[in-house]
Amino acid sequence: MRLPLGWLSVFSPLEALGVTERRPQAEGVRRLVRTLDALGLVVEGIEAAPAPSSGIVAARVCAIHRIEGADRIRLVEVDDGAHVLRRVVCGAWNFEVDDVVPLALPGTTLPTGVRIEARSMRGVRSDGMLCSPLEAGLGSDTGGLALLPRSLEPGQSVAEALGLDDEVVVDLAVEPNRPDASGVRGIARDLAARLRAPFADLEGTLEGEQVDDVTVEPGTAERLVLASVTLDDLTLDPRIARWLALAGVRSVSPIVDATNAVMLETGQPSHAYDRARLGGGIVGVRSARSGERLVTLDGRERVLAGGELVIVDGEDVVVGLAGIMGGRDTEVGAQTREVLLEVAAFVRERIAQASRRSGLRTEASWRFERGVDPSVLEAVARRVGQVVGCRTVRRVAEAGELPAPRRIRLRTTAVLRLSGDPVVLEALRPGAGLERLGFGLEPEEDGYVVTVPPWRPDVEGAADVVEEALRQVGYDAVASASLVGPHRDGPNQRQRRERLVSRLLSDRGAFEAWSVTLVDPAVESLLGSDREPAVLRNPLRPEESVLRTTVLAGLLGALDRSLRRRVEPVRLFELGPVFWRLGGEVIERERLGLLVGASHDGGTEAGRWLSDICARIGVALDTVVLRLGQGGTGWPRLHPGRCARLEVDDEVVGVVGELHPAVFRAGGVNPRWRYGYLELDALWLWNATSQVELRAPEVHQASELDLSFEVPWDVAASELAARIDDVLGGLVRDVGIFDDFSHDGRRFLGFRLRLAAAEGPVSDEQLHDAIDAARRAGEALGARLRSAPTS
Amino acid sequence: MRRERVMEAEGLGAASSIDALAGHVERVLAELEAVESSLDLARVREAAIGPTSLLATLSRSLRDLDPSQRSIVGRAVSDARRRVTDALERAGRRVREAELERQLQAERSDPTTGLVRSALDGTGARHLVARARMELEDVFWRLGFEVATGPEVEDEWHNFEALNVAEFHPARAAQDSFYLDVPASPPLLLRTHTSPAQIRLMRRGRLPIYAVVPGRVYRRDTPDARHTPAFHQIEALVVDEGISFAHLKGTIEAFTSAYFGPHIASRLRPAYFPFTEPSAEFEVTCTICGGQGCRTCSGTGWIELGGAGMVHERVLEAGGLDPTSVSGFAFGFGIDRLVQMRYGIADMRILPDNDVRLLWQTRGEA
Repeated sequence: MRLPLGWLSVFSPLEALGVTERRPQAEGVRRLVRTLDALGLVVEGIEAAPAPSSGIVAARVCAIHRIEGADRIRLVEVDDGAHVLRRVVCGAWNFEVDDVVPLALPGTTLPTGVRIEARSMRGVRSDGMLCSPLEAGLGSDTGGLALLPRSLEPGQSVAEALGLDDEVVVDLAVEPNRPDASGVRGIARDLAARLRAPFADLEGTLEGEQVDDVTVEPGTAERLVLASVTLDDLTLDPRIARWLALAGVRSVSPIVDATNAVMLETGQPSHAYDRARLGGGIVGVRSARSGERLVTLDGRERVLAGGELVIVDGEDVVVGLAGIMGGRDTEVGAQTREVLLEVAAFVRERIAQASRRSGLRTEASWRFERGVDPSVLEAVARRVGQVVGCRTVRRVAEAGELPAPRRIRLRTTAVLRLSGDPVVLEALRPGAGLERLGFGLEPEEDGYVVTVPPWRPDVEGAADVVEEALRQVGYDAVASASLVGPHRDGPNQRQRRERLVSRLLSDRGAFEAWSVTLVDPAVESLLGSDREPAVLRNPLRPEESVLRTTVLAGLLGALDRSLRRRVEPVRLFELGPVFWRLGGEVIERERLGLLVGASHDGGTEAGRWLSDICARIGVALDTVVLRLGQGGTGWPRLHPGRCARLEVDDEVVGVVGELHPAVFRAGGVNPRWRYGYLELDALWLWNATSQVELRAPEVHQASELDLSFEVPWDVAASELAARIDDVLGGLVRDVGIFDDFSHDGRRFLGFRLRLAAAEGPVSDEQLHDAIDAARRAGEALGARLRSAPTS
Repeated sequence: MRRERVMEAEGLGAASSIDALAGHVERVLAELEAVESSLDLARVREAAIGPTSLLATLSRSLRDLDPSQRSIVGRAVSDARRRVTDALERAGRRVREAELERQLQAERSDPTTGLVRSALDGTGARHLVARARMELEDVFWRLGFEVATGPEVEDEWHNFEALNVAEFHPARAAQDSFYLDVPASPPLLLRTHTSPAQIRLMRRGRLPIYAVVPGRVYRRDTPDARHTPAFHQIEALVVDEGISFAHLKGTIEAFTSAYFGPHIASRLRPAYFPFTEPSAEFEVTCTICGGQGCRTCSGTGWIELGGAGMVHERVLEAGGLDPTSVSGFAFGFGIDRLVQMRYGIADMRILPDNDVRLLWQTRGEA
């Protein structure tokens, strides 16, 4: 909310709030801003709005002349207090002889920054300019000249005559629980309480000639006040008009401006109807029936779903969306003679519901949703009349009772327990903070019974009262107490391993990615995890409308962008969740995805990274079953000839291989590298049993044994290696592949074994036996031993 | 052949053998002077002391000589051997040194070549957000907290109702949340904050709770420089007997100085959150200007970091706890914002973009 500080003076003298000089840099203003911050009314910006220049003076229109050959401008003779009439050319048409208007004398700079000089138009000299409210710094209207009270002396400075001072506008962020602070009244009350300044609340009742019957459906409004205002040459108080403009509200007409100004001043919205256009000259409140229609003030026809709160006239015709927006047909216009003012306290939830259903949020609905003060409705109606100079605002009807104030039991021990510092009790003393805010405190044996003022619907329990008390003494005043938690273990295994693995991958050259978990359904189906993805009901865009079922679906975006930017090879990893739908449930699992560019064979390259990960967390690969082929349901489809899956207890815990070429074809870019991909179930990764045990190395020299096999494509190298390791008993210390080539579709693998025995050097006989055993192991899998050293 | 040589030596007699030996030694010494390479040296060594050399032949023939001659010839042989081996050793050292020198002269490379490499080559890095998260976790471990997690797909009850955000609460406008098209009751959505994890921690049924929950959250904001639909928060929750607002202040201060350093202070000011009461916004000294006032902090010297407050009674109740016997506080803030502050990131959209050209610049960890 944009608050011109001068507006506070309606409720509390500015001097008492410490403001004497209205400049943003003035010490008093800066102190006030700090106080607002400390009260939780956060100041997000401060601007200067100096008073209109003294060169803008009141001038009485004495004569209006046509200018030959001009049909848009006229020559106006005005009395500006000098001996001779001043002649000014003017393009506005909303005034007549004897009106008093603002005149900018030559040499004056307007608030808009324009400098006025005498000049000629159509051969006629114009000795100054007559000003609109915007040009005179009086408001926001630009439709015509500002019409000043006729009582003003010609030649008098307008600012001085209207009592317009320099202003400072502060932009306040009002928390949604503080409906009272959405008006100057609430802000002033908070400030006055904290700064111990006097506070004069809004008061007044309506004069009533009769109380008509009015229909208010139960459960729609706590209170409703209808009042009538006769429009008879009304103008908005110039100070209020200026504050309204500085608050950023556009001028519409005096009466509508008045309802807007009083809404900003008190937080209470009201609506003005052209009474003549209301059937029966009266309105009531009820729930809308399905299919009812209404053209709102914004010109849109709305078909109601039913249940929204609507305002109906005496003939039950819908004339407005209660608390949100009025109807066009009953709008106040130029012909309006009498206005019916509706000031209500609607039921909060009903307004929130209707506002959401209609997708319409307004200044008024915002305030009603948060709760208004039902005790000031008459005073508000009266104030609306007052700011436009209407002396008699007559009561037309009234419905509803003032609800009983909320009472809260507050035990002193509970206050101390929650706040942790007795300083809070200062706000509970008689005449101190809470009472100054309007709370009633009746002492009891062990505390107080607190009566909550009607403008604070947010205060519901003891904790809310404690917050008010703390706000008054200041959060800064509470001494802090130190606290240390009982956990001494630091990271658990999952967290340690997560760091180990991430560190390994980043040290090896991969960058951690944070990709979007919302992906394109087309990408999902391309990767073919065969899981039903969880679809968003309200996505922002179709490319981000389903949750990924594989990490790859997220990483592909980054890969695609990299390729398009010609940044290769990419090495990316990501730890993050995947999701899939299972009936009415969405399953969520954490996974590790790793994408690595390789010059030759992406699948094998990904296998190397997998081996490193297992080594780093101390998991022996022989505890995992590695099988050639796709991962199946739940896993991204990889290059069919270059992929393998990891299984533990017949459950797939990961896939490794090369990205499917279709992925690139769909992306439309051709990579220069082949991309290896690894995706692992993080639960397995974090929980897999670590088998780090130290074995004293043998004292004897190890023997190396190179074995070359022809291995069919359907046998995994890792399986053959594991089998050889297995059949050679305790002799094998290490198996590596030193040679891998294929010819004519046949594949040849050279394994290098390092053999050692505890009892002594490996004998020739042991070597021979080992070779035989390896040959048989290979044959069992269909692999043929081609060569081995003879001795 | 062997036999003949021996006979020859015998035939020459002791004196002539010694002369021949002297000649052999002189020849060898002369040859060694000229030796330039280890190959030449090996050849000379073979000729000088190899099995077919005069020295070896004479040595072998010694046992066939009669004792009077044996000692004379024997001394001559061992003298000759010593001279030859000494010379060989000297020549060997000389040749090795010369060869090493030649090698060193010939071998050239420029180690700075290794410094000129593609930015994509070499080590990688963890994500900036992950790094900030790890630092935060480290701080909270030191403060005696556990690090917990919660699901990203939540239901409305955990995300809103249990946190005292009622159905028509203004904070719950549908346009801010991503809902899932799954027939579930309560409806499923992507969590809009890490706070539902509070409820899950409480419903675990183990007290006291001293925990932080870092994690990804989602808001249905159109991406712009300051918003991405997903970002990260960290949430601290303490529930124990006798926990007060003063403890909240103390813990935020302890966290602030542990994470940002002792020169950074924190302060609380009133705010509103449905799940806490009293509630506060917490601010820290502007890390850019150190509190002097700058553009980042709009001249105030303070930067708003996150929300805090005493856990609302209704939230404790939703968590299955008795508000008359325990109390608690919670605070939370955005991790991405910390990253943004530290690295001066103008546009948040670069974080999920994973542009490798940006990532490689983030290798260094200070």
